[in-house]
Amino acid sequence: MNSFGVLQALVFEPKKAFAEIGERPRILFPLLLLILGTAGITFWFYQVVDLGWLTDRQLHAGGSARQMTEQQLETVVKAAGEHQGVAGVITAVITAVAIVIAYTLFSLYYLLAGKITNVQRSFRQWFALSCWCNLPTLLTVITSGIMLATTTSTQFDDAELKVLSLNALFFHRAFGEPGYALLSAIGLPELLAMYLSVLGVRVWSGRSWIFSAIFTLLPAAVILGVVALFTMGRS
Amino acid sequence: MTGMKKLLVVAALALVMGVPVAMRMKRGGEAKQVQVETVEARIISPTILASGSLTYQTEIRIMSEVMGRVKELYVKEGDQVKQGDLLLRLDPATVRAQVDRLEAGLMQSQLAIERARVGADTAETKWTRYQKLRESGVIDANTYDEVRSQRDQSKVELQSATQQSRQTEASLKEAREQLAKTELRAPISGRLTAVKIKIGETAVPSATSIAGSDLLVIADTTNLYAEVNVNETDVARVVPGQQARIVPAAFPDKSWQGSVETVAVSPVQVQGQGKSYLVKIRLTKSSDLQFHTGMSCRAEIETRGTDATPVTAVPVQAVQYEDAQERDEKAKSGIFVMVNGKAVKHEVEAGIADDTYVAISKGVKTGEQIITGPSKVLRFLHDGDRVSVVAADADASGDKPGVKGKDSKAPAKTP
Repeated sequence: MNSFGVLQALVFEPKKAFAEIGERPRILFPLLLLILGTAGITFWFYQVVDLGWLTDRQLHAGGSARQMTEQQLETVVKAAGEHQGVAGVITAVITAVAIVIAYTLFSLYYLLAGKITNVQRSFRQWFALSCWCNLPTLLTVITSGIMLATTTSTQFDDAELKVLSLNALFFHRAFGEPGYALLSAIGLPELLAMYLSVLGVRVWSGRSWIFSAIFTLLPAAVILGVVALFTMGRS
Repeated sequence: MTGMKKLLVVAALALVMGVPVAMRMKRGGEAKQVQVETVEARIISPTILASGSLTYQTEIRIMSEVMGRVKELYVKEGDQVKQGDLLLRLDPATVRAQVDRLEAGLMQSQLAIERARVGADTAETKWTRYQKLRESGVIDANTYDEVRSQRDQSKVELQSATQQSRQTEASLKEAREQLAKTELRAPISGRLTAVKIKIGETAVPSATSIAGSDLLVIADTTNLYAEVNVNETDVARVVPGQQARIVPAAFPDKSWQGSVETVAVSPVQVQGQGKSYLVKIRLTKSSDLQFHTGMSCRAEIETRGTDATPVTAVPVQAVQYEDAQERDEKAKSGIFVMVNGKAVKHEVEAGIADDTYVAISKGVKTGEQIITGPSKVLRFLHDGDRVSVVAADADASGDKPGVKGKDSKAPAKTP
């Protein structure tokens, strides 16, 4: 089965796809898709958005604007607007590096947790699982791309592009309201990625759904818990 | 998985992605909430800013003409006094002793005159008698000459005593004047703005301000003034009679009204700064404000002429300025006009301005609705953006279109 076959199987017959990934863990194809898709949409976003406006909004939301004079704020906003292209490139590169680092950390966690719980797989296999299972996040890339291509405004943040996020679909929290960032970061693609990860671990371990869910989602639960506590603490 | 099932999965995925995207696209970008104001013709009152200090019309520094220790002080700072009122008294003992000595000397001089006069009379009588004896040849020439000499000498002695008496009399007069100067009286009616000496201190006569020379400062409080320094680039627009608003440093939220009374002919050069001209502004008295002479103040002088006519004007915050791209190019000014729920940018020519409004000679007409705020929304507004009017008291923060904010500083004006 080639990479496209695995991708197709992931959609229609996920168990078969995970068996294939277990046997032949391909990393480059899903990783490149994720890096190019995410970094590409980030770069595009920075070409379209009014970066001065976005910087002003972020400085006010973070409270930094209160410590700045009107003139300093004006200078920062103006500089942001003037260096939009460079900012796009830098952020895209950082995004690409962050993706690699994140999947590496997740894979290390799977390796360690696997050794403890006797799910014996190599680092390469876990890395492949991480990459393949996160391919649904490309749905966000696609919908964001459609939004960027069709928008008439230049004043929006990246969270507003995520039409599949829980915030956009159900909660409709406004910018600055508690939970806005968290609910905008999680959406249907992320939930689908979590489901695939749980399923993948279940296929590879042969254990129950509960074991697979705890095994897979523990790091995400810890991270989300910390973020939620931090958000509540700030609000 | 069968072909039908695959089709269903693909359809479900397409639906999950397509519906939210379609909904968001249909809803479009939310209109930005803005404040608007209708353009009107207004009289623009440009002002010139200047700083200076508060002062009274006349201030007199009272110094002592004699040296002496302050024995009694009858006033304190802030007292109202009338012309001629006794303010302080220096210890007169030394001067009085001098007067007594000179009075005694004068009496002695008068006695000396009497003595000389008696001597002169005696010598005159003796000379008359000896003259007859000489004519009858009873006495010789030597004896006669001796008597005549004695008569002449006694006359000179009388004159000398008289002159001595006059000299003593002049000294006495001078000493009495000195004695009178140990009492300092108010030269004008007014208010004591400074009392710099205390009982027991020594007053020193001096033309320059050395310690102990300035005793009191008395001011005519009938008229209050602000003396402000107007920059040489602005002074040509300042003429007597113009109205001004004076804001004292201690009461930034209060002000006096005043009118320009004089504009100095000669400039004042402050080192490190440009030249400026002293402008004296007479204040209208106000019972709300306490006047403190010497207090720093700011003056806003209205330079509008009496024949000023209304011109098309917009709020200053509505005008956005763009720096010129090239050296010879003029800086561009623009305002947003609200047309059919959209912000339409108009390039304008801005003219004179006051604190609130700026005259527009080209680019906008009276009656049009222009966008005046909130400043954060206005700063990032683009030509063609959808906008909706929000009341000033329900000001939008500008953080997110459609979200009401709390912290806008834009003026509360809606049509």
